[in-house]
Amino acid sequence: MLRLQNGEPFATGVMDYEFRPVTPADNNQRIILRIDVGNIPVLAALDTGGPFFIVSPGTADQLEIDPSFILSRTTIKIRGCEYKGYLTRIDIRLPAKAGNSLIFQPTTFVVNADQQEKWGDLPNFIGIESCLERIRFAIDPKPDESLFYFGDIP
Amino acid sequence: MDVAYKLPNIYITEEFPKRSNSTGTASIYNMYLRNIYDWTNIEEDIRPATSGSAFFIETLTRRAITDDSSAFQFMTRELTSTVIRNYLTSILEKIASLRDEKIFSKVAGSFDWDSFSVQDVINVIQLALECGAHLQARKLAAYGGNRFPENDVMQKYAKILGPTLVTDRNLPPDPAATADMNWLKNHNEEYRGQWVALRNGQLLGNAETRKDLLAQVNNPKENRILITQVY
Repeated sequence: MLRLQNGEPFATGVMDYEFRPVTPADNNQRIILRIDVGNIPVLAALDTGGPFFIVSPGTADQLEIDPSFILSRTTIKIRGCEYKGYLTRIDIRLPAKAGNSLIFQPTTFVVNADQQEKWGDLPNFIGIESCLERIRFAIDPKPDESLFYFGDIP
Repeated sequence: MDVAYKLPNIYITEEFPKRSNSTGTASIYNMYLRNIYDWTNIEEDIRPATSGSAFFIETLTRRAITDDSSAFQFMTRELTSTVIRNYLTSILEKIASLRDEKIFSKVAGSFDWDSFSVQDVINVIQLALECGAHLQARKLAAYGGNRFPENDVMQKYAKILGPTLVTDRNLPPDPAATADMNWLKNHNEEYRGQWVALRNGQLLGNAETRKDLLAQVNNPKENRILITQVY
């Protein structure tokens, strides 16, 4: 796996990613990862300009969240739009193709299931702020085998 | 657009500051009072109040929002009454209602929160989240978590908005996830636009809509089935 100049591990796991728009209407290509939210397999798009891990209404439908560990239901502005939902913490697993898989708990905004129409066919989003901010990552954009390397900060 | 222009009039009835109370406050007051009279471009809806204190506060607010955040630092350091705290909080409510995260962060970031109650801090965190000032919300949650260790609600905010935690870093690889991703890469043209159910890289069903697909698939959560649209 990847190492820093001093020999310290930089990445301890690696996984495949897709590089494509998140919806047919999206003009930008994004890094799409196959991860687990709680114990649910989902696709999530890397959003380096966004905060939190954002759970789409479709995924929210399947989640079981401890009601004692959510902040009051609120409206949050994400990507220029306002959505109803709530903040909590959920285990996110990065499943490794090689090396070690990793579980982390980011601040997570769960969009209410009743926001599905407004949310449309957007996926889940992995933000940086309060999410990947403590995870080392790097990409290898090799056309036939694009790889997402990840690791913990010691 | 100048945000201050959009702020509605807020009436303050408390007489403050009283120039004779404190030499220090009086001198600062006089300094700002001179600035008030130097102020020649006050919008019409920032109404010159009949009360000198209200005019004083309104003008400081205007200065803080437009060009001088130290005015808020002065206010929150010197003015600790409930009326003033409520007034400052109401200003943040108005800014949050405009959904202007930059101004919100600037104003909230200039407050001295030590004179505010735990409920004030929680309310402002909520406002920050609603207007998109996520970083400010996190800063306040961290501040509140340290200052109010006995308050369960505040602690919950601090924990949920706190730094990301890595809880397990030594788990084995997961070939099933890799197989799902390989299937998507290899079949995206064939199933483009369709909803598919995958497990261990095997197609379990496909449909035009998510709803139709879920009707075909047995308990996707328990069986760890990936439900997704193909692009």
